[in-house]
Amino acid sequence: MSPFVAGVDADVRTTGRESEPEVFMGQILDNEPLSRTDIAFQAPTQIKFGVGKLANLGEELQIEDDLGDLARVVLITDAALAGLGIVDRIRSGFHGSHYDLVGVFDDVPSDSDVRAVDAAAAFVSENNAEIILAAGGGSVMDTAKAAAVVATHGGRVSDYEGLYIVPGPCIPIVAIPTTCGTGSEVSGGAVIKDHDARTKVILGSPYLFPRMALLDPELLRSLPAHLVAYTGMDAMTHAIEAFVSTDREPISEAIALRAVEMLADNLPLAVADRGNTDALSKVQIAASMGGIAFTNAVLGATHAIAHSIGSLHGLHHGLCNAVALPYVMEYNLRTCPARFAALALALGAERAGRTDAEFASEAVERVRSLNASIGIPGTFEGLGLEGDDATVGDITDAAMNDPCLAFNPRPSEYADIEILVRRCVTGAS
Amino acid sequence: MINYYTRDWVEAVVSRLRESAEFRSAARKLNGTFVFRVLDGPGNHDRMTTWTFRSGECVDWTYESAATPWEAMRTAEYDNSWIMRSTCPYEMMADLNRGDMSPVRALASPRYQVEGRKTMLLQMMRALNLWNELAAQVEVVYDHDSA
Repeated sequence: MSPFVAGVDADVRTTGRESEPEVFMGQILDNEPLSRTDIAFQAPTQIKFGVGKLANLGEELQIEDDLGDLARVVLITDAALAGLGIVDRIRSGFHGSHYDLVGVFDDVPSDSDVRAVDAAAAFVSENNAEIILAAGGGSVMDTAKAAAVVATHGGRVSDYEGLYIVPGPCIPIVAIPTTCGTGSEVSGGAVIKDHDARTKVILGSPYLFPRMALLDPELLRSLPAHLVAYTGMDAMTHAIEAFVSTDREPISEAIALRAVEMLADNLPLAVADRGNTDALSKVQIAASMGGIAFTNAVLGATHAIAHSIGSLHGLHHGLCNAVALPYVMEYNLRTCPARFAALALALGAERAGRTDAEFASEAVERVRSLNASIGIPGTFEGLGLEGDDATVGDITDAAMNDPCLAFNPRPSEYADIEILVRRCVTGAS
Repeated sequence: MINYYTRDWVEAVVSRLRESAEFRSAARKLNGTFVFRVLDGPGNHDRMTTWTFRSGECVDWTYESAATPWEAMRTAEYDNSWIMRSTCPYEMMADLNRGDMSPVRALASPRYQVEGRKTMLLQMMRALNLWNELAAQVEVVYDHDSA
């Protein structure tokens, strides 16, 4: 017997063949084969977490070799956060350091826009910024990333649309998330709306990863309960979709599974009481973990449907994900029941001797219960959409062209997604 | 006009790839072998093409076909030295070439299979898009009996 298993016989199973060594068998995913034999994992953003961390901003930047000698800082944020005092808090965080907050651009709309990017890029250039602070939600952080590209390399944001188009490093970004879901603080992507063309400009590049993500749960205390719920479920969707995607790999799935557990345990507490520092902290960290996971393993049909409904009906992205998630999980169950059984465990369900196939659906029920506990409606009809053929058809058409769909674990034709969308809207089977 | 997914068509696409300065510039990081298996095509034949690039130059290609179902080709193991291998029915490949189906829709479909180094494929996306554009510029007939 191997010295590694001596004394723990109860946990040891063997294959019964003499030539094979005794092995431990996992209880979460057993020993399923790799779904990819070729893996490239990226998580270059340095994450600094701490309660009240923003107060030490100057010290946290100065200690880093590549940021310590820079001085000119531009803050990109939105008007609401500026009104809540984010500028003063950042100035205070720089107190006693050599950093100079040379400009504040607080004109990012709630839905990032190419015009806002152009304006922010011009502002960054005029102020000769050496560091960009991006304090806000996904719209602010994505605007800052795109502005950094344009300010560094010139042109317009549409010149860099697509994957791996950005030609080189950009002005470093320190992302300071004030919501708990987007994951943009650790991702190499940015989604910018072109409201005139009614399209989205999607950028993906290793040069878009923020240099640093500074996570301070104090910044979530003023977030309304419903936004903690929506953005928290956005994070949950990132983690679950990354865990089951066709491009999953063991590094991101480990991160995703723990993020699911942390969100299940803490999101209801954080929604109920933003004074609960421990719960807020774990939700915030889990959101970044979800971001790392989906940056590497990509997403799935929930995001394809949520992107479509969000653009067509103007609903909050996290809310759309939250409503669609249990229906898409149900749709995917049969493709990878062991994965959903693992998710059910992470979501707090008791296996009680059930097989993976029997237990997997518990994951769906746990997500439905979680949604209900934090005020998320069960269908899009509950948010004012109608289940008529035209509405369902428009959403399906858009979802069929969303790149996330290509990574959904269950392959799908148009008719499959049409049925799924109708279920998300009306709840009817 | 050239019959789609025949040896003549592959030759025409390779010529365009070799003549396009824009492609050679955009594709300078394109290296390795790409394999396409096209099932149930005209003349009741399956087809397989391979395209090998070195720094964006198409240095080698092959075209083979056999009566459908070409079992040896359909069941051949994936070779890890390739960048990717895709497999789909002829009709789907034709829809993609005509622009009647988006690549996303094909990738999501159970009828389209991709194996290989997906992360590297994403990094090569710009060159791959140009390759598709050049291929789509070849005037073709889709409904034919050649193999």
